[in-house]
Amino acid sequence: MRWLMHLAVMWVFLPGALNSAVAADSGAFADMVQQAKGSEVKWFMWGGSTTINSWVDSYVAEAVKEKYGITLKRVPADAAVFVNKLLTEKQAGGGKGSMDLLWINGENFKNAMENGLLQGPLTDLLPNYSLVDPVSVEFDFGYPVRGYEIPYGRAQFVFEYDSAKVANPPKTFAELKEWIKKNPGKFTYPKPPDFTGSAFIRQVFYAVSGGYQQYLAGFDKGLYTGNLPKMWEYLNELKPHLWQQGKNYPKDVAALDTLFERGEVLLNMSYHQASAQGKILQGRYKDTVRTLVMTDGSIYNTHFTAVPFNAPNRAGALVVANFLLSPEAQLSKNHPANWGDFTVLDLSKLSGEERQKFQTLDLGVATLPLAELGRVAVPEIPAEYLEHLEKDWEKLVLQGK
Amino acid sequence: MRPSEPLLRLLPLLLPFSLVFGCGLVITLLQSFGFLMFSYTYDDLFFAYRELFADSWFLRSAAFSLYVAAASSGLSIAIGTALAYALWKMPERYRNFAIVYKIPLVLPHIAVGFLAVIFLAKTGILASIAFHLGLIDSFEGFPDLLYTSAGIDLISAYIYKETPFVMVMVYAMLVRFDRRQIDTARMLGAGRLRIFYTLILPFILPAINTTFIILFIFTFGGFDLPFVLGDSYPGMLSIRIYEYFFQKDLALRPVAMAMLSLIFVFSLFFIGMYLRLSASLARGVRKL
Repeated sequence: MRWLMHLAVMWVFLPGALNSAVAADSGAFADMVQQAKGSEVKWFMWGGSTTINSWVDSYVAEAVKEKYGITLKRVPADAAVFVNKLLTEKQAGGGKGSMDLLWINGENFKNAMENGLLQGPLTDLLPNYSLVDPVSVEFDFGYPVRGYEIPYGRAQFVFEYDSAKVANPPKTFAELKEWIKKNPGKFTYPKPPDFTGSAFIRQVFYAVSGGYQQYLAGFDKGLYTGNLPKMWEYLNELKPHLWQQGKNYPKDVAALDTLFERGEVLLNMSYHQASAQGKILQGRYKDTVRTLVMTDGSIYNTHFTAVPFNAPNRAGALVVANFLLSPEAQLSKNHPANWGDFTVLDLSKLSGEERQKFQTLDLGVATLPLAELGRVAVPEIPAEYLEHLEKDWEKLVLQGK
Repeated sequence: MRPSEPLLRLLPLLLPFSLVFGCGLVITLLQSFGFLMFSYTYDDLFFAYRELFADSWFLRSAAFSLYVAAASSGLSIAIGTALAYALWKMPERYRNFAIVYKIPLVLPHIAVGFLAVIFLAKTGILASIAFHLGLIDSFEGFPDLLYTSAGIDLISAYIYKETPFVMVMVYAMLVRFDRRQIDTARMLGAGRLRIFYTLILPFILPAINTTFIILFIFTFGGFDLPFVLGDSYPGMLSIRIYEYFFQKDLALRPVAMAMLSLIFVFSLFFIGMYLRLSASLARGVRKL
């Protein structure tokens, strides 16, 4: 692939990229705080969740205003859309851009890095980054982060069901298959490349091919083509028993949520362990809804913020990113009424009192305890596998018999 | 007025329009051949087109888009024309009440999409009416009307949205029709059908033709309704383009651009064919 070579060349000439990684220097950060005072930070982020939006608009915006005099403007946009906008800005050349901070991860991060759209490394400039275990955020979907992304939250994949309607939900992917056959039409998954649907088939891939470890080393074509038939055999066996006989799939997780709310399907899924609790609090789900994880593995991922190459307010963006990493912001975000998103901080690096607050936080009845989630947590697959899986799903499952 | 003068006068409008439109078109075409694709380069100029025709998905999707566009535009025209004609024949004092027909005109397409979901879902309004009438025992017994490859949801939503548009266009034409012609025809012994087909229809045909072209092209490339409704496979072309543009690997974007280029070429071809066909039909009609 020729673009890989371009990338390699770019890396070499990226001016002083690697040696500018200075250790967190409180003096440098204090300068940035000074510089950011009275400025405006435009944060481009996915806007599909009202819970998350209101947490950003109220808690985060008020806190950075009060602490640093920064006006935070949340701009709702899908990551693919603002990466696209950045590409156009880069192609047009010159001048300052329009975005200061991005919420990004996965293949959008990969796309942005391949085209030199982000600046970095940045993490060492942020005092609060010292509270993170760097090993836990080394890769984003198998793509090396190298300090170009600042971690700010963690999510894990769970299934949702109404305990009043489903007494014995399946606990493994093998049981899931049997359950679906016994309850025809009551299960489906969002159509990949939807984020959640794509995560579902990745877990099936892990579960039927002997675990995640073999894939972490990077894309291996032989391994992939050897294991692929196991996945599509599983999915095609399910197909006739799915909602609408597997001829159609909900286009995204929001569409699946609606089917679940109306009782057309009995099992739902979410790439966010606290989403069911949030929906109970909003009154969208019955309070008998619970979540579960499959014992053969449940994917988790870290989401990040990043600063575009042409950010007009770099200092402000970094101050906000640092605030998002602070124990108080992480704790507030972890609260189920606010968002329920897990922290990226290494609890052993916090003070006793702070650690206590995280450990005693009430996550709500519908959210599984941290320990239970942690037991089955498996990392994301490298982005190249993901792209192949999505493509082959279309060919072998959607278009298949 | 010299022949070039109208063009010259339109220049302030034409220039920015053709610049924006033309640039977009050129970039789309170039990207479909793999140029201007940021840091990606492609060895094969026709990479995107090869990818597109590697399996039958694109053709099936195009066929589905054609089917939805033809069925919904055709039915909208038929229903809209009949209603406009009925409205025109109503006594004047009732005609003002008929303003209700304009309601769907102001609704955005996306809202009509959600209306279709509320009505047609297995747990929707129609299903619950059917249940209360004792036609079905539970919502499982209600047929799948949403998201199917028959496109019932899409076509009915488009008809709901577009029939009033047809009515507006046709009605505007009808009010210019001289009603005395009907009286004359009736005196000469013409029946209702005869009056409609030989007097009214040729008169409103230009409006019908224009409206059909607008509706067909719009529906063929439409995005908002297919985004809410529509099936997973093959689905409308616009959804396929959206997936290639936003949801897949960035390096695959030329495929989206190739589809857009082909849609553009097809639309031009369609307009040309339709105009030619309707002109030859019009020539066959005996002028009064």
